[in-house]
This record gives sequence, C-alpha cells and structure tokens, in this order.
Amino acid sequence: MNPGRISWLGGGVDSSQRWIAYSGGLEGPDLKLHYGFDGWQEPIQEVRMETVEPGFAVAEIDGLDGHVALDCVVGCGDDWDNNRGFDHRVWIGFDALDSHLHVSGVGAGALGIRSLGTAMASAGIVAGVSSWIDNRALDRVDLHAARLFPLVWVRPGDTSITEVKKRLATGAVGLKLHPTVDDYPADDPRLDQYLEVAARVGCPVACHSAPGDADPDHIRRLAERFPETPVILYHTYLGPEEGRLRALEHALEQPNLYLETSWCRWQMVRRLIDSAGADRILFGSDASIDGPSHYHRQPPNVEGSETYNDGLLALVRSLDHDTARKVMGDNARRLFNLNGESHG
Amino acid sequence: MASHRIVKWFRDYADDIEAVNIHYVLTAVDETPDWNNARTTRYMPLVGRSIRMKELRLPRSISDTQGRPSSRYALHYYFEVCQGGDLQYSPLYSEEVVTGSGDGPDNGVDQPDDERRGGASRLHLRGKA
Repeated sequence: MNPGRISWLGGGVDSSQRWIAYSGGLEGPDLKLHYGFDGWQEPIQEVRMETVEPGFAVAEIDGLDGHVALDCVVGCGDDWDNNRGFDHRVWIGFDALDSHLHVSGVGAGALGIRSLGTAMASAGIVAGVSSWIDNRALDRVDLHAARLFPLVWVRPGDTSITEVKKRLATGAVGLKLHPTVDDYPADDPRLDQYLEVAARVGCPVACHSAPGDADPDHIRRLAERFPETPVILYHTYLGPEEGRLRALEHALEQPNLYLETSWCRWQMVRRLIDSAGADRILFGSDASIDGPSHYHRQPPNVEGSETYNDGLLALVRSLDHDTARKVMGDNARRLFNLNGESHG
Repeated sequence: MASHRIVKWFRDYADDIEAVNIHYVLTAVDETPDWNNARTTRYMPLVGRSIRMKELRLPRSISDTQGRPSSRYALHYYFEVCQGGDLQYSPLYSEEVVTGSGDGPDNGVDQPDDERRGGASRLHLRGKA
C-alpha cells in the first residue's frame, strides 16, 4: 500500500500540539498509532485512532514534554502503514524543511519522487528545496504535491537568461550552481549575468562547495560581487575539515554567505551554529541520493559514523527551541522567501 | 595553461535517462587508478536529441612512475547514468593518451558513434550534488 501521511493536526508547530493526524489507506475500528519518542526510545506506546472521515483519523498524544520527535507507524488489525518499512517521524515544536534535496523525475529509482517522499516522511521533513542537473526533469514532477520548491540549475554558457527568468517567475525559489560537475570556477565572471537576475528578483544562490573549482575561496569572491544576494555554501565544503573551517571563516567575514549542513556530523553543525550564529545555518541533507533510507541508512552515511536521523535528534536536543526552529527550517523559509509557506 | 582536449560522447539509449556524468582518473601508463582520491566528475550535457558531449581538458603531461613529466599517460573513465531515478554504471574504460608537443591546445576527439552504453559494472562510486 502507498504510505499515508502523519502530521500534527492543523499543521501547527506550537509546543502545545497534541493531536496527531493520519491521512492514508488504513481504516477500521482497530486503527491505532504505535509510537515512541526520540528515535523509538522505550517505552513504546500505542493509542487508538479515531476516524474523523474515511481516510482521515486522529489521536491525542500525551507526554510530549521533554521530547523532540515522535516516531511511529499506523496499524489496523494485521495491516501496518510503516512508510514502506522506514517508519514515520514528526518533530515536536517545528516543521522541518530540508534546504538541499534532489529529485530526478517520476521514476521508481532511488532518486525518483516516490523514494524522496518516503525518505522525507521517515525524517519528519514536511517540505524541501530541490534541484536537478537537468531542469526539465523537475517539469515532470508535481512539486506542490511533493512539497518541494525548485531551484534553477545554472550552467554558465549553456543556461539562457530567458530560461532563468521564466523559471523564477513560475515557482523556482533560487539558483543552483555546481562548479565541480559543470567544470567552471565558482567565481567565473560568466556567472555575473545570472547573479544579477537573482539580485533583481531577490532570491538566493545555492552553490556546491568542495575542493577545486567549488572551493569556498572562489564562492566568497562571487558573494563579494553581489553583497545583497544570499549565497549558500551547500555541504559547507564536501571535503576535509580544514576546508569546512575555512568556509566558516568566510561566512564570519562575508555577511551574505550562509552554510548548509549536508554530510556534516551533528557536532560540526553545532560548532557552525555556535560560531556563525543560528541565523546563518541551514539544515540540508542531499536526499535522496541514498534512496528511501537516506536519513537512516546503515551503515551510516554521514562521514561513515552517524545517520541523519540520529544526528538530528542529538543536534535538536542540544539546541534551544528558537535555534532549532531556525536551523531546521525557518532560515530556509526566510532566505528562499517562502513567506511561511511550507506546502504543509 | 595549455591543455590537451579530449571529447567524449554518449548516446542516450532510453527515453527516461535523466542525467549522465563521466568520471575519470589520469595515471601513468599501467598504473592503477585511485578513484577515491583522484577522481574528476563532469556532467555530460545534451547537445542533440539524444547525444551528449563533454570536452575534457586534460594536462599536457603528468608524472610517470619515476616522477618525471610524461606526455604519455592513461585515461580511465566510466559513465554514471541516472535512468528512472536509479544510478547505473557503464563498464570501466582505459585508454592511452599521447599529447602533442606544441604550445597550443591539441585535440583527441572520439566520434559520436563511439557511443558508450550503461553496463553492469556497478562501481559503488558516486558524486554528490
């Protein structure tokens, strides 16, 4: 069966939220929510779900205080909706938005929309910012239904300004640069015409950061030329820690640079937050490069030592409520001008 | 700095191919490629309805096994194909590169009909975007 959707009733992110809603295919008098807090910690609990109308049921959850996330599956008799085996998660107190996603199209593979949806539900991600190396691939996806906001992938000398303007006028929320695979330095002067469009529209630019052409030194020089345009360093340098800390130094000195956290261990994310401030850090994951299990793949895929789901639990527990909300979604909503819209 | 240019082609073999990258490593002749530390990844854009092309800008020389600059070296490469949301990998190819001795760029151009198709050699290597 296709997995249903678990969310807080009303889509609220208030700490008083207590009612959880299930929209999905399981129905019947035995409908129940089987759940645990903060990564299925004991005690595992069960509560009966009340059917409000066909395909929509709710349950009141007690004991939220002191917890940051609820992991669950829905059962009815012998049938279970466990999100294709990856379980559902909802965060307590905020709606998580992933600022770095990829979807290649409507195919059934790891990078297809179904796989990404499963992954997002398993991590409590209600929406995300997505890009693909061929912009046309996203044209075939119902992005609104998938709760995705697209970026325009810019390849200097290949992507036309007309296409960039058209896509930004029809739903795209920013530009995406990948100097490494597209073979140009991140401070290439040919980028200026695209950055000028971004500046006029008021949208941010997300740039892969890594050794070589995508080095933070190059990206900083680009950001310096367009000081009013937010430039987001995707991955905060996909490489050795020296580069990651150099990216942080650039962010401290250049106010329009922002750091995205995909493939960073949670202690590094915490270090970035403590150094640059909560307003400058955006949670991102690069999902679903690793398929539907992207956020909790085994063996762990974040530097080989932790899963996203485990790392995020530790990170959120370590932060105050406002900081967690900013890093886990509100900063991306602000930078990408989502105006509170989260497709939620 | 002058470079040696080699053009690689790829013909899409299905309608649901969503992206193609070429991964490559340069080594001295007969040396084993170090994919983890020396790999370069480039996107192959469509230049026709189903034809992709990428011009690789390679150095005029690299160090041979004795550490001396050599204009004769090996290019190891494979294609990563995203089809229907799944990543597929071509077989691994290796070829000898001999660069020119002049100052300007020189070329090594495969023809489009030297097409490479996705194969069963899954190398478990990837490039993050």
